[in-house]
Amino acid sequence: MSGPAAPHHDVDALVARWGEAWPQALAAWGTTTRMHAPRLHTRPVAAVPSFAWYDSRDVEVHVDLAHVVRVGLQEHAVAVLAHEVGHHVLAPVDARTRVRIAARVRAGLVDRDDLVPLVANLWCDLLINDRLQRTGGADLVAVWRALGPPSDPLMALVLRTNELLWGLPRHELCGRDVPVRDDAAWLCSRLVRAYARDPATGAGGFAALLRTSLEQELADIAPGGAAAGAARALACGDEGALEGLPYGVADAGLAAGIVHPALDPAVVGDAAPAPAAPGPQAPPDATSTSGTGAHASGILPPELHATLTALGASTTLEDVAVAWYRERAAPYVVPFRRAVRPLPPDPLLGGLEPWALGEDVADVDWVGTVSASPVVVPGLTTVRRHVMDDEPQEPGRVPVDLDLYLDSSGSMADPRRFSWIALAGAVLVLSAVRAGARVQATTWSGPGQVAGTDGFTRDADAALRAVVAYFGGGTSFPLGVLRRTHLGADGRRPTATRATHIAVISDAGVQTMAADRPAPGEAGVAVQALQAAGGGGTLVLDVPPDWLARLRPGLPDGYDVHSVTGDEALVEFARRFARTTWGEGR
Amino acid sequence: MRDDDARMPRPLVPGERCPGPELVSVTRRLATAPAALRDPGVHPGAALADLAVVLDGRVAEATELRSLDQRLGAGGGDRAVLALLTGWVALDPAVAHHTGVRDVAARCGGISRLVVAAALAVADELGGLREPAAWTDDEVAREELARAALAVLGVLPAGESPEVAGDAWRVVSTRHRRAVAVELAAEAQRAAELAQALEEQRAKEAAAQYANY
Repeated sequence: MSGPAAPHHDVDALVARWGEAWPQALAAWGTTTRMHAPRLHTRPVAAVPSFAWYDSRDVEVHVDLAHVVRVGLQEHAVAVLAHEVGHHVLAPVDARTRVRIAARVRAGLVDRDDLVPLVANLWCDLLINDRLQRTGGADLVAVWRALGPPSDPLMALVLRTNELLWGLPRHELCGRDVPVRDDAAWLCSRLVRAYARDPATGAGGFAALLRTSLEQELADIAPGGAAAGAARALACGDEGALEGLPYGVADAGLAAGIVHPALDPAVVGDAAPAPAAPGPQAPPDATSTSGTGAHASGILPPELHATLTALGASTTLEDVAVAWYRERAAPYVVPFRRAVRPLPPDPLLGGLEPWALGEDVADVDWVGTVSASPVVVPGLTTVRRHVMDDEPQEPGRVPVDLDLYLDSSGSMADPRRFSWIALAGAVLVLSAVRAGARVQATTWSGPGQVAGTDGFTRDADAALRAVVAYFGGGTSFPLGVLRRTHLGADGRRPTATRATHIAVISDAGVQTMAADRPAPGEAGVAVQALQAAGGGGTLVLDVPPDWLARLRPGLPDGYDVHSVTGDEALVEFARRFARTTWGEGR
Repeated sequence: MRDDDARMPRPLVPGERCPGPELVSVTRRLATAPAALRDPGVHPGAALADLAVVLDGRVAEATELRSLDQRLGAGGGDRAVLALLTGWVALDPAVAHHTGVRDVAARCGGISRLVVAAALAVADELGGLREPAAWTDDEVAREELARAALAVLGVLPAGESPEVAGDAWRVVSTRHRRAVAVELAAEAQRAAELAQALEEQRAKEAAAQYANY
């Protein structure tokens, strides 16, 4: 990570100078801005390409002073430090906004995931530098002059944009070595001003502008190539490690179509053409009710996973899907069932009464006995406390546990991409855990393809992992697990120890629940388990509503059946589930 | 995009542009323009004729008045408001008494002739581009009008070179903005097609999972 110290330089003096500049750098963003002192690295930091960076995880500014000396920025401490403070104050601020910006940039770049971090950093840098230069907080022009003209088209466009933003003579910053498209720089300058306070919304347009105006130049930038390296050395951003998917990125805003700045009324005003008919520029269908559940409002887990991967995170698709379902299910969480259980009567202490021989010695109230007579004569002076029963005012309510079975056969949509039915499962899990219940989640497909929490747990993440698991095999409901849980098996008691709600997330394959063919007049395992569970049962099916009547004869008796194929159906399911719950509870 | 869309308004008096007043003083002047200048009851030709008298005592001739009436239209209209706002700017001593403006005026027969001609030229240049109220209420529009007025008067904003002034004009010019938007819209369409193709490819991959349904 660290190499030898930079030679021929008074490192201590440089550290002192940069340390003294810190208060002024903070003041560039207002009198209330607070951060702890920056980390000034006196040895080269090879892991980071830039000379300065911000770490949102530790909320800390880092400066590689050896690199600073190498590029000749020793005298620009305030500007460099104020710029890094800008990453804390303006863009990206936190991990959530960082991911949002990166997701929009990724969508705007279309097929260049390798450039996502670089372009996202350049966009944030543009906003920060413009704010600092306009408010007079720092002299960024001097910094760019010290760095010299760029050698790659990406930075040349950025610097030409800065020239336009700050009213500088042409070629003052961008030089003459690399040709720059003036119209693209002009549009970029308007974009910067239009989205000066909304980095995430403007990021997609910036990426789309680069993707179109520098199409050939970007194609020449090979991942890890010299051109990309040169730009990365100048673009300093948030280098904090991302740990999982931050909360607040699953909303519909990130899924809106990317609008090129030339078509964006916020950028070109009345020059923007009228909105076209739904086509390539239209946002994706946000209200689809297709049976496969392939569409959803909001960005989907695979896109978020690809975004995190582009940012260098090692989070798995499964982790992203769990976090995504947790966030998306939160608005639908419903009151969960609670079983009414008679409580033991409250003891009501009465007066003292004689204790007779033959009664339990433990019942003797010794204080009362000795108070009445210091000489204890059993059966004569002994007394005991009379206890009466008082009926409890409120009946006892305990949450009903949830036994959830998730069909992951080949006919079901892969929940790691998205399915409304899996979202319904997540709603049930979160509702149960919030109510204090325990959850057993079992993912099943063909014979022997069973996975899950293997018992009841209060760990919502463990249950959600079962929700997003996927086999994609045959269809055979795990009646053995259902029997073991509620009826007991192999001479063992049922693993469910209190009232439990049985929920099955499936499609037409749910009919395999009734595949055990009981003798005439007897109930199958599914019905027996429902009776033994004592918390009711729900079948949530990914089939069109008009299929339910046709499927019902093949379903086990006693279960509530719901069709959930889209957003509206999910809301309706949550409403009906809640209504049933409160009907029982009150 | 035509070069014409990006060029600054031409000066009324041929020759090199000389340094003029501060841009900020002109935009501030526009921000404080009285609402009466947008009043439909104001007769723009008469108002400009009065302005000529105030500036250097010149009384407009009948032919000039007829010409003003024909070219500016009724009061409160787009062109009339632009002409009156230009006159309001020129009435500011910081502009009317500026050395650069005086030099140009000397070459065209006096300050009132320069200002009245500039008012007509600005109306021609910017007419139909924005709502009349925007020229005083919107920050960018104010700068666009201020730069246009100084350009036709034949001066540069103080501290700006011709190149910087040209770049700055392109940043605020409505005509240039529209031209660039039209030109880059074609590129945007290409980008959209690219995104669409990729989306379809992803959709096909996703659909393969549901083949058994």
